[in-house]
Amino acid sequence: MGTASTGAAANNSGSAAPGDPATDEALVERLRAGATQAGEELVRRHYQPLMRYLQRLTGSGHLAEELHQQAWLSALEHLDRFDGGSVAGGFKAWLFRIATNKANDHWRSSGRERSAKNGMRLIADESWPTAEGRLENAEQAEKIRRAIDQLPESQKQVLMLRYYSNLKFVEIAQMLGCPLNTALGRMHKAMLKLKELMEIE
Amino acid sequence: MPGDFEQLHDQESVLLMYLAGELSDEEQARVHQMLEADVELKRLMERMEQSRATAYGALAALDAAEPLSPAAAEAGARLVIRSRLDARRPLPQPTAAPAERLRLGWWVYPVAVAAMVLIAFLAWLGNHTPSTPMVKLTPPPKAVNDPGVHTPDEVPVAVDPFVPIAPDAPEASKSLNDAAAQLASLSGSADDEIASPWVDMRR
Repeated sequence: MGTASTGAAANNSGSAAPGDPATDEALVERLRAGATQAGEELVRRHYQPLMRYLQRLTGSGHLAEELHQQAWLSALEHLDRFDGGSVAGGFKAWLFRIATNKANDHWRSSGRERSAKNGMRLIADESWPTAEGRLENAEQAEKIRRAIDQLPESQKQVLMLRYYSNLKFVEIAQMLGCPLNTALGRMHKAMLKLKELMEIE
Repeated sequence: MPGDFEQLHDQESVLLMYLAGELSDEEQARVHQMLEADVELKRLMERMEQSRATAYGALAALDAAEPLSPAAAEAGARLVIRSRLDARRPLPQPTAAPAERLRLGWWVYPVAVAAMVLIAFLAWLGNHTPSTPMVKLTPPPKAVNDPGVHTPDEVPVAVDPFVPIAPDAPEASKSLNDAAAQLASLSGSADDEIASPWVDMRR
């Protein structure tokens, strides 16, 4: 029975990598003291999981890039408010919460359908290794994207947060401001729905 | 995590926490025993595990189909940090343009000093100029006090200009004026101002 998490963030953990003693919180302290290299290290460390998470939420690589930058600018702007001891999940949870809020703000300000449509078009235009592989992978990717796109937003958020940030469910629930059972229920429904949609497709 | 287990309302939530490894060791062992004892529960867990594998597999496939550029990460890091530094850096204060400063020629300064000296001199001169018109004062005619200069029918009177003239001596005053007029005619200097001091004194 597997009990270990299998999220993509397992390989891109927000905490310190082996051999690198600096934790996120230590880097934040150094950044507060004016060490810009610590900030660059933080951005590099969280770039992939955060970008992937935003890509899945928005369905657009370009929009995800924009929201990624907005999230970081907002995080750096309010860095003084971050208290590592009081935020469950530490800096990573705090950063993903900011990114989630940015994505929600985007949905509120612009129609979701329009953005999703643009995202589809932009992703389809991205480069692929070969023409044959592009066609095959594009079909597969499009199928997955359509399935993800049909997930309710609340379920999708929990699924993507769990997969890309590798935060605990307790931390995700706290981040989203919902009970633990609610977060777990959304996760369960999202997995079932995605599996069902993939089988239909 | 102690306490989470009691909060879970349904089997799915318990199994999700179990699959995620987020229960305490004691709770993990407890769920493990339940799974061993309950076949239906074990099948449910296997279905959930399969659903999770499908979902995570789909996301992994999508990520593989859309590689992120490492250069984009570097560029993003630099952009974010640079934006942060720009936001913290105070804006440069505008400096006064040198062209706006007043530039004077070297000759202005000595000219200004000379003008100030001239103005000071004129002011001094103005303060020392009498405000009343100057009156040419001639010494009192010696002839009046001179006992040798008088007509035989006149009595010489010693005149002190600071002694008030008694109002009851009009005759003396008249004779004094007459004597002055006579003296002027005798000395040949018909100066009109000779009599004036006397008149002023009486007033």
